[in-house]
Amino acid sequence: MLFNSLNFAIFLPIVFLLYWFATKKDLRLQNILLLISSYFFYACWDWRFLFLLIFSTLLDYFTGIKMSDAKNQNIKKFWFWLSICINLGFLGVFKYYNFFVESFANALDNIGVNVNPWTLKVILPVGISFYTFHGLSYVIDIYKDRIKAEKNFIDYSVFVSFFPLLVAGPIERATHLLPQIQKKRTFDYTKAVDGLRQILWGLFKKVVIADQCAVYANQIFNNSADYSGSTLVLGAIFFTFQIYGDFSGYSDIALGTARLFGIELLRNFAFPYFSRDIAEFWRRWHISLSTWFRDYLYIPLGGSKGGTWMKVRNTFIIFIVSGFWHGANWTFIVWGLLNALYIMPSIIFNTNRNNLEIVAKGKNLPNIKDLFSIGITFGLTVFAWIFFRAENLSHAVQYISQIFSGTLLSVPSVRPKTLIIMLLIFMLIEWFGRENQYAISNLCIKWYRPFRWTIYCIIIFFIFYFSGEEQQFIYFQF
Amino acid sequence: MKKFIYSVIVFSLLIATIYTIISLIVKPESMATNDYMAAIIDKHNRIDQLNSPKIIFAGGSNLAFGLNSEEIEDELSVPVVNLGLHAGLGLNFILNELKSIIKSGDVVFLSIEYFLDSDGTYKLKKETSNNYKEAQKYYTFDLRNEILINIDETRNNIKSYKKTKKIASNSKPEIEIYSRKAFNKHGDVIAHCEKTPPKELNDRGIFTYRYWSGIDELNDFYSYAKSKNVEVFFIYPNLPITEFKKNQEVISKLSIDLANNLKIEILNRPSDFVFPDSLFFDTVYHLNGKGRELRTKKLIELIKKSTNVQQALEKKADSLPK
Repeated sequence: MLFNSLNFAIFLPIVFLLYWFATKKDLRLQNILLLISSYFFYACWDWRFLFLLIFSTLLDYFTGIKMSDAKNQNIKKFWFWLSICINLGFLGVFKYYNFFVESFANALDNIGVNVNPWTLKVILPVGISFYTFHGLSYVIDIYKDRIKAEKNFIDYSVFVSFFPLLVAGPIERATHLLPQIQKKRTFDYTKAVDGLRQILWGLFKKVVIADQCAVYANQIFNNSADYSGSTLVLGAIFFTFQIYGDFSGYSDIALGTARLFGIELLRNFAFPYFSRDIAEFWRRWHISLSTWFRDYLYIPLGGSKGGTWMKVRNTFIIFIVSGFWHGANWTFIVWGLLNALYIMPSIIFNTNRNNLEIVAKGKNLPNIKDLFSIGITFGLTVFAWIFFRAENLSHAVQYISQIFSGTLLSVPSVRPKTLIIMLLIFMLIEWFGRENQYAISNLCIKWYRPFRWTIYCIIIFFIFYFSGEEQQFIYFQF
Repeated sequence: MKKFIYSVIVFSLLIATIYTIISLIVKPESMATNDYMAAIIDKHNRIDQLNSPKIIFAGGSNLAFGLNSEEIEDELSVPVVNLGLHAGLGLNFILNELKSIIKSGDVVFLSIEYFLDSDGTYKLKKETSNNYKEAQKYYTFDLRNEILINIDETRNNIKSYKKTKKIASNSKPEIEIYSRKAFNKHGDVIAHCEKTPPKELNDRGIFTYRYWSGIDELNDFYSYAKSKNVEVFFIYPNLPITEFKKNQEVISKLSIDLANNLKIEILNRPSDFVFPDSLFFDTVYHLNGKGRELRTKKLIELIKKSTNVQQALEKKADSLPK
């Protein structure tokens, strides 16, 4: 079930009404309802993979309890590694097995050894990377004695499977989400209205920005050999907005939906394209994943404590792993590597925490220095996205060499004026809303209701006008 | 909570009102009655005018594009109606349509596209029933699809609002192939016969073998037809040679299933209506003018060769007014 589908538009109000009317008085019933709804939501894709989700949930639930009850460290360690190995084993088999086998076969082929490896003919279970990381954070936190194991199976299952975050995050932490699931929720009008507004903005980003950019980005990337350098640059920019609109739009819908149920999820995006350096970009892009890698990989590896060399090594590791997390393709690894290279100067010269504040806070316009920094960071990001979007490494290399083939300054042959104007307006709205949780959270909030509703109607009209076939979210494949 | 529900309801009503107003404004002044699916009106008009016995050809567009019904009528001296319109309507729609029109003494020839899906495309069925209200009885109403189609139509009407006005003043008199006017009175598409075909054939593909559930539906229809004293025969559709070769193994498995399980008499082998690619027009099921003539000739031979068809026709001929 897609967030941008008629099915979801029917599903959400039904669950909402049952949640606040039929099960309101009993927290246990409310959580059971959330769990059943979440499993139904997931089963709409492929019910067979529901068993995998339930197995993963059961595994972490029981190993969590076993770790908590363990009388000595060795037993605790045993259950911890059992959970880690099985979780990563599933991820490895479904997501990376074919990649490793094919890469190995290709390597052998290069030295003249011909092998015909057995590959898996199965689709990637939706959301496996997300719910596996939920589970991993939970067992790691128990192992490190940060939290106690959750004894209530329903509560734990809701933590793993809560439908707004189930298929593409945000990647939650037990310390943040579980207490909210255990606590009685009360309906808050302001939060619910804010949730609806965030859903609206998320849909706008997905349908109007991402899906429209996708049309041109796909056209240009799929026929890159036929286009001039300038058109290819435009194609990369369209993809830059596509992936932002798609993923941050999804996150907005997830956060807004959760808020309707009185639950606050972790923020995932904070206007990343207004970042002044790559370190700031990574504090603002897919925040729940970046912080996950920081807390569960970077810091355990030694973080910044062991001097510059340690920082450099650890930074490379988390960016490569982060790239690999996105998918079993060398393009993602190079994308991660490229970002690691981008961030290196600030790691080496210890300037990675220079831009912690929101750019031009309290002002309408940035100063020249900030504007220049934003432009450079944006350009580097666009360049890196080429690897992310390309079919394979040779496609990425061909795309980039074509950009610098001498036609970079020519007039692009693909110039969708309406889309370019829409992108400019979109960026303006994002700019003026950058101090909020999401761009329109405070937009015309104090206006007289009819004017405010007129703005919402205009946004809905745009969503209606540009919607068509239900389009998948890019991050579902991860 | 009450305030929230109240606000959501009021806002939803506001949106619904705006939507209704916009959809009324952008709705084309008159519904197009010249589109391809509107040919169903003329086909049914002909059926209403003819007394039984008559020959009815039913199936998808392989029949619409690939039959010369007039020639068959002349050869067999029985009135012919070609109901073939679009495979996208689905087998269920096609059979329900047949059930609503067959009368005692009729002879039905079914030429169904390979592995034709039972349900078809809702949008096509809706489009057909927009043109011909009776067609609503041939499929099941589906609210979800109705809503999606309505939204889609309104969106398209908004997008083409200005364009439609421009086109209306510059409309071309030429008959389009995918229009109601492309058909003759027997229900055959003839507008393509003299036209130059596109370079590539559409709908090429590879069949996947499975037991075709259409066999059971056809058997159900056969029982119904028998109870109405209607004779039914099955004919394999036409296919370009390249497509046939590619799918030969699957088609042969299907033909075994049909031979073993279909209660309806099969008049030909799949290979009988396999023609060179050059005899096709724009898709793998649409014959061009030459191909259409060739298939018609072969079909007449098959019909004349089949004792059972001959007997059925003779029985019917006896009941024709002299």
